[in-house]
Order: sequence, then structure tokens, then C-alpha cells
Amino acid sequence: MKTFLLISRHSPYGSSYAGEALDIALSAAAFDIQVSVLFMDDGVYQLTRDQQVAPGAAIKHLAAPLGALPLYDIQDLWVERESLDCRQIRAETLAQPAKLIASAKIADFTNRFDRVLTI
Amino acid sequence: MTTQKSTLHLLQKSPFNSDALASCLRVCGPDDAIVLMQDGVYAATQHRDWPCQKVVVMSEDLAERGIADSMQPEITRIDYTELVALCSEHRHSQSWF
Repeated sequence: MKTFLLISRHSPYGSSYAGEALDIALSAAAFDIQVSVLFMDDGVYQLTRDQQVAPGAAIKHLAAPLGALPLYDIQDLWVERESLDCRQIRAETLAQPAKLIASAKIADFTNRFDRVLTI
Repeated sequence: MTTQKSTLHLLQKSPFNSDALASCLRVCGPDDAIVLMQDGVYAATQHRDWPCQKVVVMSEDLAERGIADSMQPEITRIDYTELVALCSEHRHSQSWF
């Protein structure tokens, strides 16, 4: 089974990048690829609890694809520690359980995967 | 031939209005390489301590923006053929945008 790391760096509602990145993760998992996701930079804002999107808003709510991750067996979620720290977000407040990784370890971490995509 | 262990970082945003360069530098390993392309070429005008040995800039993007003369001497210019070769030498390519 191929391993795939998706690095998601964009905030949830400022553009369609975040939603499309999650769609890629779910699609890959559907094709029997072992998917891991690393959130960094403003991408960590995808994991805040209690996001409320107005009905009929042009952008779709991220709760659905995020909630679908475990259903597609995507449990290996990571968050860059420095991105959380500088935004004053505590890991235990995140909407999904994610492991912390220091930026200095990310180069080696990345090398463990067959494929890597940064969005 | 490299050992296909490292990552090629493709920086596509100006360091003056995006955190893409800062984030790329934060996670870049010593065996990785960085390509400055599109508005990322503006990063070639400032001196900095790069975390890896190899830092190159897309010649075409640099010329387009009229900043070829203010480029830092440690950065090498490459064309698209060389970019393709670099991509194939590295295990992963990561775009920063």
C-alpha cells in the first residue's frame, strides 16, 4: 500500500484550497492509499471547533470532510507545533485528535512517505 | 546522481507578502534544495542563511521581473530543462504558494 502525506497550509474559508485538499485526501483513501495529513501555517485553523458557516454561503463547511476522515480510515493527523504556538492555539482544543510535530523534524518525516503533496 | 532521499522545494510566492518562504525555510532539511520561481524569485534579491546547499532561481521568471542584476551571488540560475532534471533527482517536490 502506497503512503501519501498531504500537507495542508491554507486557512479554511479564505480560499477553496483547504476544502479541495481534504477532498484529495478522501479520494486518495478511496483508492486504497494510506493517507496522512499534516496541518501547518494557517492550515491549523481548519481544526478549530465550532465553525459556523451561514446557510447558502458560497464556501462549503469543512466539518463534513473533516468528520469523514476517520470514516475513510485517515487517522494519522499531524499538526506543526510552531504553527499552533504562534497562533496561541492549544492542541487539546482542536476538533480532531492530532499529533504534534516540530518543524525541525518535518524534513525526515516527509521522506518516510511514497508521495507528498503540499497545498 | 543523488540518492533520491531529499525534497525539492518550489517557492512560488514573494517573501514580502506571504509566509511561504518562512515556512519552507522552517522545514527544509540540509540535503533538500530550493527553487525560487514565479514571485518566489524576489527572495533571490536578499542575502540570507539558507538551510540547504542548493538554491536556484528560474532564469526566465527573474528576467521577466527585471531583477536579474540584484540577485545574490550564491544563487544559480536555471532553465526549465534543468528544473525537470532537478525534479527527477529528488524524492519529492513540494510547492509553496
